[in-house]
Amino acid sequence: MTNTSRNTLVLSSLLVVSGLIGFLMLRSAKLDLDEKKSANKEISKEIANFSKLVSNRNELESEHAKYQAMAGSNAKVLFNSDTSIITYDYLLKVLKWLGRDIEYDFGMSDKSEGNYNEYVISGLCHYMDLVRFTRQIEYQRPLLTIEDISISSESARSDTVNFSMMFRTHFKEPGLSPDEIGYRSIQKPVQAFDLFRARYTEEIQGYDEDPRLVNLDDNTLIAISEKRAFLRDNRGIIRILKEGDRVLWGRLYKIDSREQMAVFKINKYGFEENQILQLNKED
Amino acid sequence: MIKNWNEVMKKQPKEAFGIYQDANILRIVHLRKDGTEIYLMGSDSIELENDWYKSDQAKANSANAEFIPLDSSFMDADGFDVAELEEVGPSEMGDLPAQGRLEVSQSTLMLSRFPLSEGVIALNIHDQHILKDVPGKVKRGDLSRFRKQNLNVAQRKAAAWHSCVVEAEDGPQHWLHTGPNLLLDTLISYGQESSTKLYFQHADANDVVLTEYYRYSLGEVPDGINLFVYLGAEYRKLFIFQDGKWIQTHPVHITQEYPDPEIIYSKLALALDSAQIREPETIVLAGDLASNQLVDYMNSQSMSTKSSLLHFPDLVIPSASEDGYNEQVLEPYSLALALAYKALNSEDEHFSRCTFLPNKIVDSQKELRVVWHGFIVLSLIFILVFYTTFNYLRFKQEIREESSKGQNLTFTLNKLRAENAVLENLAAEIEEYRNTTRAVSDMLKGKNRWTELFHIINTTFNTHRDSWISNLKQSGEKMNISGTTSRRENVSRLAEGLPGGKINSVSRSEIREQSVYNFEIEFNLPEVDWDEIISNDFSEQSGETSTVPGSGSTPKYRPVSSRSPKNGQNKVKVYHYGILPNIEHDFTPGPIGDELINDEDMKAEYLRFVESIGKGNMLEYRLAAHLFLQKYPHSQLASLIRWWVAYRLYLDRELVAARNSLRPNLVKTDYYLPYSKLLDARISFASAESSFKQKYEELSRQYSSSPAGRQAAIDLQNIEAGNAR
Repeated sequence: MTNTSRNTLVLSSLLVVSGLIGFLMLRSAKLDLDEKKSANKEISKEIANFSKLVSNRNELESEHAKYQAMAGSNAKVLFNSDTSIITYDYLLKVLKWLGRDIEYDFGMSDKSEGNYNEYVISGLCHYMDLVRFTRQIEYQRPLLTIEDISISSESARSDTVNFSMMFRTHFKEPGLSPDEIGYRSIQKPVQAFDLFRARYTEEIQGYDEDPRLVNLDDNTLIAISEKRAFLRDNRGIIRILKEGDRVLWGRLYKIDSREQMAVFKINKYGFEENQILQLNKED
Repeated sequence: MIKNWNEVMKKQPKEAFGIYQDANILRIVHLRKDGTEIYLMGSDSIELENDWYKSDQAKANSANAEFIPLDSSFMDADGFDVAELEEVGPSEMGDLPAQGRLEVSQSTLMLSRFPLSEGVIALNIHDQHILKDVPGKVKRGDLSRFRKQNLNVAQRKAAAWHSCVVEAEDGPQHWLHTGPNLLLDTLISYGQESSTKLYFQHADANDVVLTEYYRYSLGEVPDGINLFVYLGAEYRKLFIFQDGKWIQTHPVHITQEYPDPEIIYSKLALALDSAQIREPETIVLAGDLASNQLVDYMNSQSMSTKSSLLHFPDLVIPSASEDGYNEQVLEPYSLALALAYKALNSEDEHFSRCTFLPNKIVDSQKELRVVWHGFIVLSLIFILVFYTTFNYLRFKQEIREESSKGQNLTFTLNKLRAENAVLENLAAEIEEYRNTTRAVSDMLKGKNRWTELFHIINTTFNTHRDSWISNLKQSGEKMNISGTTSRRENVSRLAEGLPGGKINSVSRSEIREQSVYNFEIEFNLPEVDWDEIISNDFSEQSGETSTVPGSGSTPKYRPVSSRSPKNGQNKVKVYHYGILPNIEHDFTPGPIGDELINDEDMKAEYLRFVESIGKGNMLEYRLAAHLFLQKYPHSQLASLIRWWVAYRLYLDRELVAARNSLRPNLVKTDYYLPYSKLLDARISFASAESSFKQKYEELSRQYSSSPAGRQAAIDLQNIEAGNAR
């Protein structure tokens, strides 16, 4: 074999080896490249997914801020725990905010469950005080739900009522400590009205009239003029009244000189009655 | 001597072996070139039993011809082959007993003494086999024609010829060597037998190499007629140079083997006469017959002609004086020396490139020679390598780009992941808020309708004031009230005014002769939308404190009017809203309690958070905070973590995010509350909220002696001085 043939053979071998090495190198590089491309593609997909997820970041932050603001604002909150002491103290705190003192009996119901304790209070108070107290319980931040209220009139002469209220104090972790609860002003309006005060009664309603006023039951009409009526009480004191002057539980409505009488409008039992004093001719 | 010689050696020089055969004489010289000097490393000569070219051809080619017994002691292993020259003669070798000895030829024995593989070999060809064309016919066609004329088909096919264009006496001349080169065959045979790799530099015609060497030795041939006479064993020629140019060659016909000087001189004179050459300027003698005696004789015969022996320039002869080496001794080797000189100085201008080596030999010596098919493969290799390299580099470049892209993508992904983690946290918190809100909403569903109930009843009865109730109670889902009215038609109006009101009973009675009507009315509890109430409450409040996007924008000047309580005049106060100077280090909150002491993991997480806060990378410290809070939501340090996050965000003017982070702290009464309120006041000021002043006043009032209170005082001073940025 000549050198040239041998050299060609060697070169051919070199060509084959080079080709093999080149093929392996390129294949390895291609695999590496494909792997990286594939990895990048996967990452790009993930990025696209994450981008979608974070695209509503502003909305989420806004919503989060809103909820945080709600949590930190006047929104309803749960106590982080509750015991009868906590609720009892809280009710006193409410009364303090209310600036009223309502006497009531306090008791814990046996219906208490995992997330709430049930209590019953019963007492005596003015109806509107009870209404305001109820409003505080319902509209202050701590979540207390009033399950039942029953009210009955205590006296026909006043707006004082007997009441019984059953409510629940809800609590959950992570809630707020009662110490962290402050007063919040309540926007909820309630019409004031003496709902339980009887308008008509068999008995005289109230004794808060000026005792210096003329009590018709103790006076007699002794004289009458065109515009004046002369009354004398059992102590002999004479009072001169004109139409419209106030008397005990009422006023002088009319002087009828022709009929020799004075007509009074008296509201002693919840409704207005005419009370007439006739001139005593014997006197 | 050998030691001294080795000391002279400085580096491995190029080496050459000049070998020639003339009649039955075979001579070899070994030269080594070291720089400009040429060392004679050895020489040897043997006398063949007969002239190879005159004896039987088969015998001449036979490797077994002239076998002589070889004693191992003759094999010089010292590498210095001159010392044995005189000791081994053909006669001695011929006398060696054959029994028990390896039979080798004289030539093999001689060649074996020289390290032929360490140098190149230059040899001569036999004059008888050189055919010379007419001078001047050296064109390609002329060369081809001449070969066709003188070579038979078999010779042409066997490529048993070697052409050379020689600068001869009459100009360029085509010389064709057609016969066998028995010296070359012998050398090849020796190489094969001794497994020695031989490298043949050139094979020259005696005429060519001698005339070239003659000119080389003189450097410049003097003007006029100069003769160069070579007197070998058989090859005896006279070369005539005129003005440096080789003009004629004449054989010197001397029949005696060892003629006297007179005969030689007379033969030379005869040759000159026949050549019609006037008396030469110089005569240079070389060859076996050249000697000082001959030179002296010739000088004595002619006063005008100066005769001398052939000179060997730059030749270093080791220990020439001791061993008797001088130019006369070397004259028989002049042809071998000329061949070796040419081999060593092939680049010299005096030597031609012509060689009569067979192409097969030349080609076989060119181990790296490549022909067309090799070039094709080389081209393919080049293309392959180029393609591979190009594509590999392209792939690498793409891989680098993809790696770089991957890094960027990974960074982006990590960033998004971190953001997503924060958002997931936000979403989780939102979900928690929602759950709580939903739970609250569920708990309130159908509950707490009493206030509304009272409001409705009071409003209804207020329009019919002579009505009242004595009892109110719940009966299942219904409410029952019993009361009294003075007018019977009121009962209907009252029932109508109540949601789902229904008259259960009405009865007449008298009170002091006044007719009254007792009634029982059943109605529904009113519906109350607590979700709306809560939402409305928040909406009303958010008008003051909600965090709307954009509140974290750059500080701005905004005139704030405030009415002076003293003089009642309108006074416009201008604040330079913005970020206040950093909180004094002593007034910033730090960890309290012994959680960090007792919990190594928590400590590590906390330190990681502190480190990230120090770096100021928003994403990093928010993520660290998120991880800490997720892991230790009930830790005392949770408020501290949130405070620091809020503070960093505040310093980075991310006021919305700062407030979001701080908000949980503001509804929690703990050690960090004053600090949180301080930061809240700062955020309000940076957000240009008018409420900042109340917040600072509250701080000053409630926490005047605390670090937060003292910082609040400093802040107020800065606000007044307009030191916000």
